[in-house]
Amino acid sequence: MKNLWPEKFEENSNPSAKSILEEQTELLPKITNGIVDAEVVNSDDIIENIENDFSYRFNLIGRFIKNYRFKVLSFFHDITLYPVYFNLDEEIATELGYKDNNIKIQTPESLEEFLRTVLQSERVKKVIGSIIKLSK
Amino acid sequence: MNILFWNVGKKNLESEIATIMTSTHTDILVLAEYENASSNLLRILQQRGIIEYSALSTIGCNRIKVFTNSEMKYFRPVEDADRYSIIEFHKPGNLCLLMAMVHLSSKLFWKEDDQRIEVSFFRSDIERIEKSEGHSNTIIFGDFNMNPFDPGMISAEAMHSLSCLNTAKSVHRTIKGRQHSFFYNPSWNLLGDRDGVAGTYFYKDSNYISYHWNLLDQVILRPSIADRFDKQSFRIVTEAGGINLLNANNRPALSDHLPIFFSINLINEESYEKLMA
Repeated sequence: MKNLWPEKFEENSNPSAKSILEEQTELLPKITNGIVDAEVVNSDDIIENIENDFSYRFNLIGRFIKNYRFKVLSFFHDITLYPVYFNLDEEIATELGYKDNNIKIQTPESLEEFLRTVLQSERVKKVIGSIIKLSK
Repeated sequence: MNILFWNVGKKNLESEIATIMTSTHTDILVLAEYENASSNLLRILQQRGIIEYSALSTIGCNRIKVFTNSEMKYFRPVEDADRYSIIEFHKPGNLCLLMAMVHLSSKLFWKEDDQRIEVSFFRSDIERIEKSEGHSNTIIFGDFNMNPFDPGMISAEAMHSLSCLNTAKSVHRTIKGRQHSFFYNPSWNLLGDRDGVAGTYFYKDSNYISYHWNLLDQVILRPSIADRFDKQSFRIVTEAGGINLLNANNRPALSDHLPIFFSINLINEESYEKLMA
């Protein structure tokens, strides 16, 4: 039988949006004394107009207010990991100067910068602050 | 429980809101596009000697403001996103209710298909929450920015809300192996001008098809709790406490939307019997 496969495969070394955000979910409880959590969950939302294999959403969670959730963004991509399509909270999108809240990120470099601006937005800070206040 | 929803169109209408909510004996007031501090309205109420209302915190949804004369301890924030806020109301002796209050994206900026897809995300959020809460005593109301007959309100993948409670009571239907649960939409009863105005929002555009009157502000609920919904109480508010909300052309005068009002009985049977004994 003739082997038609390439000689070797290289693992895709690009960080996925999911892995970057999952790292952040580990950090948030540490900086909020365990009051505010974050999660990346698989999303089974129905999306008809974009080809995607993997879809997730990123939520902030108030553990002491019976797992209250705030949706920051959802995102999806295909098996190649990029581009990543984000559906961002509208107020965050406006704050960051985007025309609308559907944003396409093409590269790992721009992904990290994009997520940094989202997580450091006034909107996110305010929501986390409110969760902390209501958790007391 | 009396509930009033009003998209106040960014107008300063505290005095009118206070009059309307007190004259209709509103227990829960939900406002969209209210951009003032909640304390503004509470101050007006207090100046009129009405001190029992307080503002609920919608942590992550700035589009929706909620005021109530029930104790805050009966309310629990469940989930917020930019366009909706979901809270649980659970008073002893009452049904535990999931209330989702919405101000969805406008037709002026979104095509019908976009609205349908966006609201399908919201529907799946609702179903996820119902599953984690262990019940589907769910009512959704507010400015859907869609008419009851729009695809986003009708489609099985979207809100799947029907005009007929009897049909909706079959709970779900199966399409290509996938179950789609129903909502009941009593808002269909408000279409047409039999009881006055023919909708909650008037918009005349230059296209051949223009409804002029639209019923964008609606209530839908799960069929399992629909018998508690007082259909007779459900109305578009055009006058309350001596305030006329219509102009000389019979169109919305104060805000670009008219408010909707409805009652729902949440008292559990055993509690009701004890109360009446």
